[in-house]
Amino acid sequence: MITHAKKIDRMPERTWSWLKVNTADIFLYAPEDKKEESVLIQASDKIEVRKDFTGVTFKTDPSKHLMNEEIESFIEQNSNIRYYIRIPKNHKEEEPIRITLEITDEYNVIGEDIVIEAEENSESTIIVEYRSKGKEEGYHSGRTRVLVHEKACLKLVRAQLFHDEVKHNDILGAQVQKEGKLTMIQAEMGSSGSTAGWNVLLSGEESEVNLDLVYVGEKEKKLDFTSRIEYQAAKTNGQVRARGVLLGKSKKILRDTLDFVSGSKEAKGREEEDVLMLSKNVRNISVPLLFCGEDDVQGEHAASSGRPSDSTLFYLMSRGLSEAEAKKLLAESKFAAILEEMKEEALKEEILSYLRVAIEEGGYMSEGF
Amino acid sequence: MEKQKTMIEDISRELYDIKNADVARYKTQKGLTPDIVCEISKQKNEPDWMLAHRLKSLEHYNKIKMPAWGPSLDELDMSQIVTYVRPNTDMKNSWNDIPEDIKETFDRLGIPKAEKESLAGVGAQYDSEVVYHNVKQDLLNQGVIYTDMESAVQEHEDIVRELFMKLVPPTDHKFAALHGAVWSGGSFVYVPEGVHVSIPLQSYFRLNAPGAGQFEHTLIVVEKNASLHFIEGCSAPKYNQLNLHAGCVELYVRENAKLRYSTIENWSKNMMNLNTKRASVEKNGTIEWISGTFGSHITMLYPSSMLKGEGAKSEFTGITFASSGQHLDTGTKVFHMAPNTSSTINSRSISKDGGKSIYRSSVTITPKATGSKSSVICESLMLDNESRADTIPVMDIQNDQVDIGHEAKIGRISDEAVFYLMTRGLSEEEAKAMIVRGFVEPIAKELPLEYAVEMNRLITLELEGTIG
Repeated sequence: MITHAKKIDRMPERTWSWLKVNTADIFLYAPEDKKEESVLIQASDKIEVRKDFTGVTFKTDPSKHLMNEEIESFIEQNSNIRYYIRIPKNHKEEEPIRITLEITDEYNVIGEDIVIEAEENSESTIIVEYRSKGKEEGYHSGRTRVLVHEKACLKLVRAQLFHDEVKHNDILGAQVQKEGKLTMIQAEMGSSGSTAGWNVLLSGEESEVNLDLVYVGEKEKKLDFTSRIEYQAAKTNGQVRARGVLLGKSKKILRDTLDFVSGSKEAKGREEEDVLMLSKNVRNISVPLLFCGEDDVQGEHAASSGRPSDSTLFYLMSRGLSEAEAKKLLAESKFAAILEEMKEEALKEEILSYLRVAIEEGGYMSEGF
Repeated sequence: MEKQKTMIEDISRELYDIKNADVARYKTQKGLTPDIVCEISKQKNEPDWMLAHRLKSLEHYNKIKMPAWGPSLDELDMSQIVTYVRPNTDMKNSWNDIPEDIKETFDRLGIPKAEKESLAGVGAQYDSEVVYHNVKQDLLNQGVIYTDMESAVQEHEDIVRELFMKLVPPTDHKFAALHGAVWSGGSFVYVPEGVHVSIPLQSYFRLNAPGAGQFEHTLIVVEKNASLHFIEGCSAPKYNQLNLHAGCVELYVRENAKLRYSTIENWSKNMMNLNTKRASVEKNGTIEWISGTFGSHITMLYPSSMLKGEGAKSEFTGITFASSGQHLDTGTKVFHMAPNTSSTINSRSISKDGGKSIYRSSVTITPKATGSKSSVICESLMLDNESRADTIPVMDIQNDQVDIGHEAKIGRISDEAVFYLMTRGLSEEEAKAMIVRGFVEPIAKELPLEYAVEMNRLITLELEGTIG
């Protein structure tokens, strides 16, 4: 296995170093022999799927904000899964395109590099599932680049469902052109150490992104998330919703930036984060950043965290639930609004089951929280 | 058609920009050397421990790197800064005994008038030394001490030695170390147990000498069950060379005590304002920070509250107005270190004409601080595309028994709000004026009355179209 470890700046503007939020530890992995990967892609024959990136160009590579040249070069030289997926102009793909990457005891290192191009006026849903079999250690490093052309509409559901022995690093950069729309639902459920970053450039007028994130932290899991939306054009709209549940001795950091650059007149942005903390030993770090170089915009951040309120618990318990059941229900309800948007019942149920198992295995039921 | 925008006038600086001739009694050489530090200490006839503290601080200054975050401080060249300027007078307790030009300066700033009308005591610093100090007799009778720091070092050495630069140690950051090496002037206040100082005390810091630094130290102790409102004002005329302010404020709020610390900072636009303020709050104590930042070229200022005792509280209310040539990086830090502590942060900023206003904060809830609450609200108004308004808050929550909320907004006034007020009978301009005043009102109402009036006078609103 080839590895590459690096501290990388993850703040658009540094702050006090003692807070230890300016950088993230990036560990990249790739197999030495680039053996045949464990990946399954299901799509209709209208969708172009190929392994080489010939002719793929980004005027501004949206993933660059999340890495440096060294990391970029590592990904390009060492990835063993490379796919280019194109949804053609004016095409509406009725069924979701499904990509499943699986870490097994045999194929335990995945270096992934994927490009998705949704051409003009196309409409599609892509579901990417990151799974693992067996119980051995596994490693995943991924870069996904997404280009949503004019008036294209792409829904991208990404579910990270690795088991605890898998380390996970994820970089996603997206660019949305005029009147294009990207809806992204990211579920970060598994892996004992997860570092993920998402950067979206709203480069065309009236382009839009909705980025929804659900995550669960348990045991001694470390979650390091960075999300950024750059509003480059007029009347752009970017929203972020993050819902998390923290258990055990887990630690999570979310740096979330809305960056209105000059020229983003009448742009709107909102970020909200709601974290349910269900153990006295968790650590929750939130960094909601607003950057503004344009006067005629509306940007908002809202973040809240804590235990369930006594009045809510009392109400649920008066309806016959035990305290533990009430808390479990509240944890699930945090995810519900976001998971509803997936329209994928089986996957939604699987994600919720991760949450339930995390709560049950964590002993929070027997502890009575 | 381009939207019309609300214009907010620059703060009028006429009053502050009147310069006096630079007729100091003594000045150190430019730069920062052990000899200069020793000379400052000698001028003040200090005890040996203070000289040792200064020299140790200088060592730290030379070792500590410049901050790797925040505004660029590349313009600062310490070899060009005069760190100590002794004015042409000793400290007096009658305005009539002060040289005429200095007295006129403080007259223009309204200090003697405010003293007569609404203050229980006043300290006035001119360059590196306090030139006037006076406190009402009834406070003295109750055991309140309000004096300059130099006198405190001599007359209350035991308290000063125990507390001086213990909350802000010289190792804290480069400019805390600089302050430790060359501090001069400032105020010492001691409020004994159970004493409520119902009328505020005020210290005013005026820097007149071009190319000089001001490094005043303020040390306040409010004992158990006591209370105090302390006001700090500062200004300087504008010169073509950089001036430096690196003051330090240490506040000790004991059990059940309450301290309100209000600051209106109106430095000139050639001033680099790198100030450090910190409060230690014990059981059920309260610290209230009221902070108005209007002047300076660059400011880095984050009053910090260490909530050490159960039930301790912190409230921070701040307004920042950044205009052309200004980069104002302000905010606050709160450390919840005991159970059932609470903090509120309410910040407003306005940026115009290329001004850069940064709100930066941290709220840390330690594992011990169960049952703690924190609420953060920050709002920024951008008036043109040349300006910037950024918010950089961090919340680090290390236990689950907390209630934490954060809200931030950047933007323009909504058309809906204007329309609503117009349906209630206001003209469009009146509606917009009301909304703009509403934006600063939560801060203005917390200012001492005379400063609220001054702020209204300073910020003249000319309303014309929407806020863009």
